[in-house]
Amino acid sequence: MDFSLTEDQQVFRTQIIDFARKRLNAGVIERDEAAAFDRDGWQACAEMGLLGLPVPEVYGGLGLDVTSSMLAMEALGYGAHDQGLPFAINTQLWTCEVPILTFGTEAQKAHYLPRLVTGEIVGGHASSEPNAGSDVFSMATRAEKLDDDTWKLSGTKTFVSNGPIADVLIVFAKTSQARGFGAGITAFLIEPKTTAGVTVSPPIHKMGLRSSPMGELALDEVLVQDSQRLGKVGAGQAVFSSEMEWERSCLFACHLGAMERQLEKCIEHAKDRKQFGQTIGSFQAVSHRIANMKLRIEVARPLLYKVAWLKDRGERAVMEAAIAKLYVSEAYVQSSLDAVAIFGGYGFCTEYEVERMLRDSVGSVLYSGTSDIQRNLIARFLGL
Amino acid sequence: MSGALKLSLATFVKNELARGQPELDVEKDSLVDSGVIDSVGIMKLVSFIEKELHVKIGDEDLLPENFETLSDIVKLVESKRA
Ligand SMILES: Cc1cc2nc3c(=O)[nH]c(=O)nc-3n(C[C@H](O)[C@H](O)[C@H](O)COP(=O)(O)OP(=O)(O)OC[C@H]3O[C@@H](n4cnc5c(N)ncnc54)[C@H](O)[C@@H]3O)c2cc1C
Repeated sequence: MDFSLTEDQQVFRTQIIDFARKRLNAGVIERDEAAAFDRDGWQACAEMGLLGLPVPEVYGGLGLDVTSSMLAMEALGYGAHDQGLPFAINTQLWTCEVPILTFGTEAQKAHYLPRLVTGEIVGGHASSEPNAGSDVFSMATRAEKLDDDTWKLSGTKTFVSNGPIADVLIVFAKTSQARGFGAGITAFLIEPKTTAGVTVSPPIHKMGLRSSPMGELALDEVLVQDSQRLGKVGAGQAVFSSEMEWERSCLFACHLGAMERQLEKCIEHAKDRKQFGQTIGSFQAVSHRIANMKLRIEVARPLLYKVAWLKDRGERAVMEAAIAKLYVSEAYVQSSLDAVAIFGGYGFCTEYEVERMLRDSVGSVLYSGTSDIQRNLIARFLGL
Repeated sequence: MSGALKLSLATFVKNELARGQPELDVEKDSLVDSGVIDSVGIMKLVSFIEKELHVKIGDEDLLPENFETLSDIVKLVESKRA
């Protein structure tokens, strides 16, 4: 494994960081307080190519490999102080665009991908339900086949990131009573704004990632054309697993970028802030905390890059993605707590933007499968 | 060829996926209904097929009907080798 960056990757990285600093960082505190989505920033990211990183050029994307896409996300996480916007972008990329690319028909790709890439429409996915979170395949949403052409979907989805602003969502529903693998689940492309019987709730209030809207989706006897089915009947679990492998690596690269920025901020503060006549960085309690933050970043990076490397070689990285996700998310929360400790009372104040990162980080040990679920998966792969 | 393939798949399923189910007849029983092939089991099996048997299984092939029984899995692997 060679993790050195190519010249193109280095240039793109620098461009993204400069872009994020110039275009995405004004009004972050206000957006967080108002739980406001940055639609202008979204559009600017689309113009930068960030909404189409792995999408082939024929659909308007950049056609990048996994490693380059991951590096771009790391750069975005580093440059953008508003972590809600990158979260919304990651949601669309890995849980909407990539599954359409992987499982979609040519017509579905041509219909959705170019508009997702330009930012004209927003996408996401809806799998979780009020009573089916970690055990997502026990979902209650049903899709009943009425005739060759039509399905009827009923059920409730929750925690749908981008839901309140989405134009297209991949919705998972049971198409048979089968148990075990597949569990009779099929994926459908649903356009919530224009489909009768679909209701999206206003954004759910949450502790972090507040500028990334998340909602509930109610499906009341929604009629869906068979041409809106994504993948084969019963392929829902395959669609979901493929999404998770991407999300558990590329989204978490964004968090790695954020941790790098957080570290720099802490070092600067530790060198600047004086107590007892010395800079606080000269106290071992503080410097060791910072050393641990650095250690976490250095461990996290190769874990993530290994997943990208495997995927670029066409290999599966299910366990590796779970390991990377588990480590990065827990490291992100711990480093965010450390950052608050290093900033003292200022770390508790909104103005310093340290507390927001802590609030943003907590979701990472929950979404894409909780830490417990990642450990379960790793243990199963180890034969336990 | 098919015999060797079947044996290696049966051994993997028995030792890695169906531990704790000694009554299961991996050659005959439904691996999906018995829960041997679940959301994690399928990924373990496919990783084994790709790494050890050097056969690439596409995401679009991850359908329950391709993994229902050992014979279905053998058939899938053979079709990919062909
Ligand atoms: C910010 C955010 C964004 C999200 N975005 C989306 C989205 O876009 N689309 C979507 O469909 N979902 C989304 N989710 C939902 C997310 O996938 C679920 O929250 C997650 O899968 C956990 O499910 P749950 O919340 O129902 O918790 P539960 O499953 O009820 O878990 C509660 C606790 O029990 C533990 N637990 C459960 N089962 C086991 C087990 N077998 N072994 C050990 N411990 C276990 C869990 O680890 C957790 O600690 C999002 C969640 C968050 C926080």
